[in-house]
Amino acid sequence: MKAGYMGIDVGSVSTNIAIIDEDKDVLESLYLRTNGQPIRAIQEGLMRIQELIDIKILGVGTTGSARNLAGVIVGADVIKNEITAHAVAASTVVKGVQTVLEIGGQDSKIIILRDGIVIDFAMNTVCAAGTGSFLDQQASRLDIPIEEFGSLALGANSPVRIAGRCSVFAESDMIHKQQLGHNLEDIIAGLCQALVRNYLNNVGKGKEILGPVVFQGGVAANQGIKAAFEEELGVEVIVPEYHNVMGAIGSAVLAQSAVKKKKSTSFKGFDTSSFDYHVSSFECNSCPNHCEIINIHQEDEIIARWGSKCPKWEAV
Amino acid sequence: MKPKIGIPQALLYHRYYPAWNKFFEELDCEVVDSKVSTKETVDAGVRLAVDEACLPVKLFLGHVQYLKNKVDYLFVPRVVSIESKEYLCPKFMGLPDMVRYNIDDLPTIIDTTLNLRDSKINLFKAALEVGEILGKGIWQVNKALWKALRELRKYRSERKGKINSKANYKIGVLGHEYIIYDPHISMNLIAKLRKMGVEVITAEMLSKPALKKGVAHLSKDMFWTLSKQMLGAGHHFFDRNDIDGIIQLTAFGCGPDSLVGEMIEREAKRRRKQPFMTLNLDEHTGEAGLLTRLEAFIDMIKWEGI
Ligand code: SF4
Ligand code: SF4
Repeated sequence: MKAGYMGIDVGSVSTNIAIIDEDKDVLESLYLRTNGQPIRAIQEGLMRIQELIDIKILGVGTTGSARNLAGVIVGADVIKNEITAHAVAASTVVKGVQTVLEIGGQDSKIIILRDGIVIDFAMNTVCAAGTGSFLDQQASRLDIPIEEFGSLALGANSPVRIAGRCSVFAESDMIHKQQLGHNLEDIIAGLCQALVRNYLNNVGKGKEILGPVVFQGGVAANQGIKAAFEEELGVEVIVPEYHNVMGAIGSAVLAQSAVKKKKSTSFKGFDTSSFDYHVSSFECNSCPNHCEIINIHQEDEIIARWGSKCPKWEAV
Repeated sequence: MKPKIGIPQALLYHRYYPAWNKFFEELDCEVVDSKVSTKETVDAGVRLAVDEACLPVKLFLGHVQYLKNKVDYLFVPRVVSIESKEYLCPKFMGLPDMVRYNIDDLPTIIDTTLNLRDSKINLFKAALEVGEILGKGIWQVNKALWKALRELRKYRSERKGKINSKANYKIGVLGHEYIIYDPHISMNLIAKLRKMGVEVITAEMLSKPALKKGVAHLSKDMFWTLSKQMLGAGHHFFDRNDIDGIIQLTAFGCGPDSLVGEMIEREAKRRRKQPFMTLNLDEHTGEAGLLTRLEAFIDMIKWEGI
């Protein structure tokens, strides 16, 4: 039986799992939709991994917006924010990386590294115009599958300029350009450029982007966006093989170094997937904050709790 | 029965409350403060204020709303200037008007003007004016003012001694004190950072000469006191080798911040010495996103690569 480290990245859109060996090479990876049910996604992910590979887990790390939840369910050795996890993954896969562009379904980030150390980063705040959901919207509007978006864009001769400050404007401008008779390829390439411009003007504002540049996240599969980045930045953009599970890879790498320090793993085992987990919540009315307190139950026992703005409910 | 004076726990409250409390107590009043901000205070403020108001002003209105039926007087001074040849942001001058315009059924408002731009003596005049409203004589007011100032000095020196030098990492936090020291709108930033094992230093813990030295290089004098303080603290942090990183909190809708915040951020970029991050706070800022940024920032400072 092989041995390795597991990283789990639970975000609002997808739940990703990666298994790496001692040399940090990826042995297995998995990409699932979270569908608003992170616990189910985690359990299903564990079950599927177990079917895919016979492995002894030496350490486990979690990341993503549901990192704490995932951490208590699997017994994580390390729980880290997604920025650190993505930076770790990029510098593991591409030595000497200086810029990480990450675009996912709902969010995007940029990370600047120098000499292997993160020196600056930014995340998108509210605007979706620089994220994957912008493309999804436009793809469904044009009635073409999102998977074909990128290759169509590469076929463009002269991309049209789409005013894309915000997805609402972009949409009306795109319809306008369609009515003017521009061909589909040029419009799609124009959309890719609009997204790249939005991203660089929002998330990438004021950042010094130097190569090697790594582009990761779900949107990195899109050839059109990669090409638009290369054109805009004038440097080669590297899309790693496992670009859509980089957060998970990063947390697996972090788990490896955490276990080195603590000597043994806290992983609860794959059985976790057969336990009954559920979440209950109540509103605390002890003060006008009216915090919504979330309880995480394993069978009948409360194993974690959060949501309070004061220490009142800290102890489980 | 003692008259009840309501003091909204927002804006300059954080800078002066020990003095204000003492002053009114010495004038035989009962001070009622509006308690720490909660979601309810923010929500009420957002409902009452015009959209364009900055977050701290919205919060102030929320505190007024909480207090208005519980007190005989509301203390909302019109603070024009607190330093010689300088001003506060215009919102402080208009504060009593904003309160009256946006909130109905108010008790008597003590809206005495405080303007120390030309002379410090005006502090005494303002105190007398407040005394007059409450029917107190010059001697009592004089004594109350003197005691209040003593409280203020004590409070300031206490704050300066608050630095825990044993922590491994030090972070300079820039921003208006009524944001940083309001646990609700700052989402407990200071407590969160301390929990992560870093020590926090703010402008309030620095000495006056240190702040002054920080703005000495400016080609043109900055006449907004609070922004000048922020700029001075920023440069002081830039010059210190023991500050591992700087976090700047700016308020959504704040005019001075959008200028001074940008100046500080550019200087940080130019110097490339310490990691620097700006967090812009508004009433919709999510706690999860803030926490992710803070954790990543602290990792960045502690990280030695893998
Ligand atoms: S958990 Fe604490 S802060 Fe939240 S409503 Fe209850 S008492 Fe208030
Ligand atoms: S300085 Fe900024 S935050 Fe403070 S009152 Fe003025 S506009 Fe509002």
